[in-house]
Amino acid sequence: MVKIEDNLEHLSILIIEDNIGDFILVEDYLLEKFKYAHIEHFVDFENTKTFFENNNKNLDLILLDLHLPSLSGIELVKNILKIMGNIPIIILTGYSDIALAEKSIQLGVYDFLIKDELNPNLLQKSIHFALNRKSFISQIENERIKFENLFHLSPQPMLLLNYGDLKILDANYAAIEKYGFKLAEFLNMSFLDLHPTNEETMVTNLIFEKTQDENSKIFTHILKNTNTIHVELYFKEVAVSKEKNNIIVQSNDITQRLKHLQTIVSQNKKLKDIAWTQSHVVRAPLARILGIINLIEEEKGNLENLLFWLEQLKVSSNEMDEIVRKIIEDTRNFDLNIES
Amino acid sequence: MKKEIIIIDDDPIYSLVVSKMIHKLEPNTPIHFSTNGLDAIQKLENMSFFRNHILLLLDINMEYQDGWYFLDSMQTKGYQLIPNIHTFIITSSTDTSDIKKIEKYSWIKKYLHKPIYIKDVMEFLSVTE
Repeated sequence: MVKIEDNLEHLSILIIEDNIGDFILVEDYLLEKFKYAHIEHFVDFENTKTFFENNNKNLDLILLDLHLPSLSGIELVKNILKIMGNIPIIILTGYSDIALAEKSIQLGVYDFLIKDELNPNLLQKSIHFALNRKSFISQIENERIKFENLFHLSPQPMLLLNYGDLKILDANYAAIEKYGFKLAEFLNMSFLDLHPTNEETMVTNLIFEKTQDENSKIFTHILKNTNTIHVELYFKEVAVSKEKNNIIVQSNDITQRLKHLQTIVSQNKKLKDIAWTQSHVVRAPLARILGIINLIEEEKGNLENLLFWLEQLKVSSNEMDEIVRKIIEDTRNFDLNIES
Repeated sequence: MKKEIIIIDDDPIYSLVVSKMIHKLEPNTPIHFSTNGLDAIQKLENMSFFRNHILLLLDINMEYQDGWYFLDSMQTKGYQLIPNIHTFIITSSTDTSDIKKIEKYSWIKKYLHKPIYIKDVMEFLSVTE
């Protein structure tokens, strides 16, 4: 937090006051309390406006008289607030305008001071309070922006939903890029519009009954170009006010991951098939060859039809060669599948 | 008591090799051949297994009505309870899932992987002693 005390002596203050006597009085009081204050002075709204339009000079505070030649009262306050942005404004007024001054406070003015009661201490106190409040407000504003950025700049697509009807209230950049909808299009949609009809009940159940089942977190989302993606959804309820809740949804595109998983599953199946073939198909002719050799050995050369058995050996060997070639081919296809 | 043998295998050359080995040891024992489970069970039904020993040498992987079919048909008919019927499995498969499945048929005398040797044949034949 900025310590305002450090800068107080070098305040830059704008006084908008058409009565020269009042201006001199206020200026005196100011310089009494803030020795090195820089003071700007305008006597009407038009010059003030021109000054702001041509000048980005940093002002710390504005002291505003409620009655200027061409513009006064609430209209003046509204116009000044419009061009001043978030610079604190303190109104200088007479007894007759207290009601008006109070109304200005509601519009965003920080304080009002009655000219007839004004003294250096009161002025100083009011300025201190105003600057302190400004500092708190900008601190809160910064925090708000930080949190908003967490949402808007997150690399994961995120949506903000209205709790009851699941209308989309906001979408971050990642969501806009992922889904292809413009923000304005998102704002006209319900979260359920992203889902195919048959998943709507499932997703509402998940949101409102807070199902813990891990598997039920995977859903289909339809992009603007009507392509579909598989997403893992995470929901978080956030309280906006005492009565109102919103839901933040984070959607994690796992289409690619599922595809990889599927490839692994199908490759595992192929591996299993190859193992099965090894066990059942390759061993059949091999066992036959070994069986015939056993037989020839047992007979010790006395076997009838030796030529028949040799022919059988040849047939079985060729059969086995064929099978091995086929396995090699299958394995080669397997490699190609991995690459693709 | 006489003995008869059925070789159930759709590989005719392998059946021939086994039958040669059997006849080398016992030239007069009758051998029947089946190339599928259905044919084998029909052959078995027509044999006099109360008077003779029947030795079944069964392959598991056959194109039609394989070894599992045959084993299940035996169980439906209650043949697994007949002490004169002796069932051996001779398979080329070394697949563990096949082996686990075979072990569920507790009445099977023995299972062997192909190729079989003359000492294995001796062991089958001596089951009746």
